[in-house]
Amino acid sequence: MHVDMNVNITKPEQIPHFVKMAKNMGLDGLAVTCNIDKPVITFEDGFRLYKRACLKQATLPALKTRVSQIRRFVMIVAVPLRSVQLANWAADDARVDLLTLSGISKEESLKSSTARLAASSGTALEVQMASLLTNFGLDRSRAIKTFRESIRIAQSAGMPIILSSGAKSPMMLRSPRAMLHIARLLGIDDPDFMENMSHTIEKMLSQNQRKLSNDYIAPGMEIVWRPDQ
Amino acid sequence: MRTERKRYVRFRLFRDGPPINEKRLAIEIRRNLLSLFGEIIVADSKFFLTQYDETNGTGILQCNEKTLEHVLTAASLLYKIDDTLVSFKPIKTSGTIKAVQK
Repeated sequence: MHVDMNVNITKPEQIPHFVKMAKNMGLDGLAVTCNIDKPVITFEDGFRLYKRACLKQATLPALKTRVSQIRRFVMIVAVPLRSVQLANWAADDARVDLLTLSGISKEESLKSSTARLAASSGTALEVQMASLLTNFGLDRSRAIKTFRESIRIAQSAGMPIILSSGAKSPMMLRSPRAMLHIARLLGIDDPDFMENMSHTIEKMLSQNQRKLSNDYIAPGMEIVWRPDQ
Repeated sequence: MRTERKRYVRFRLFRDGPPINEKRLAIEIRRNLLSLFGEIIVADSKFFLTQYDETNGTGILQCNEKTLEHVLTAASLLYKIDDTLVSFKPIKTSGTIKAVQK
């Protein structure tokens, strides 16, 4: 199961173009930031669109409020890596799925403490490769440096890593095999990286789908039978 | 002395914009290869576009086996060539051109 976990679609009318390109690339689904009706939309051929929220709140109280407001309406909750305080809270909170690294800001980096917290709660590091496609030369080397350092820290802490496109246009989508080559550039030498990444994504999506069902109450607690059934 | 092994890669270049000709595509892949990995890798790669159909974007490239990974990484990071947005998709790799054409 190959899903691009971060596609920035601004207008719903762009969705068919992205879906067509994703199918050409051999992807099975896209996680989109655009406002779609349901957390998951399944097409006739099995292709899926997942609703994703990227929370860019600047303060911790605002971020906490937003996470609790939005969690039951989206499949993926992502928090960009900015301040250590926000990153550590997000890494430790099971409602946050991804800590995002875009490679644009100089202040972005993953700390060892954050990586350890994330590894224990199952939060994954998301590396957006859009900055590698749009930049060239020194600007790209700066992004590669940020990515390689953070990936090394995540790997040593046992934090799962996900590579996403961060695509703003359909041509920014990449096939799973092209992603594997880009992953190697970023210091991921695991030959089974794509399989492991697919497994992490599949597990994350199936867990979240269960959490979004009406029968889910809390971790380990679900309604299995109702008297009226 | 053992000769260096070649690798052939069948690929498809998706595009949004005017077609890219063979020479322009080869230049862009080499430029990206040079920027990412340096002159030694470009020299050792012996990268060459064996076939390329600019209308449908399909083609075959050849390179040295040892630099295959570098060449495919450089090609995968192509995004904009002149005014055309592109996405490179490697399809099949083989040691002979006959096998890669199948």
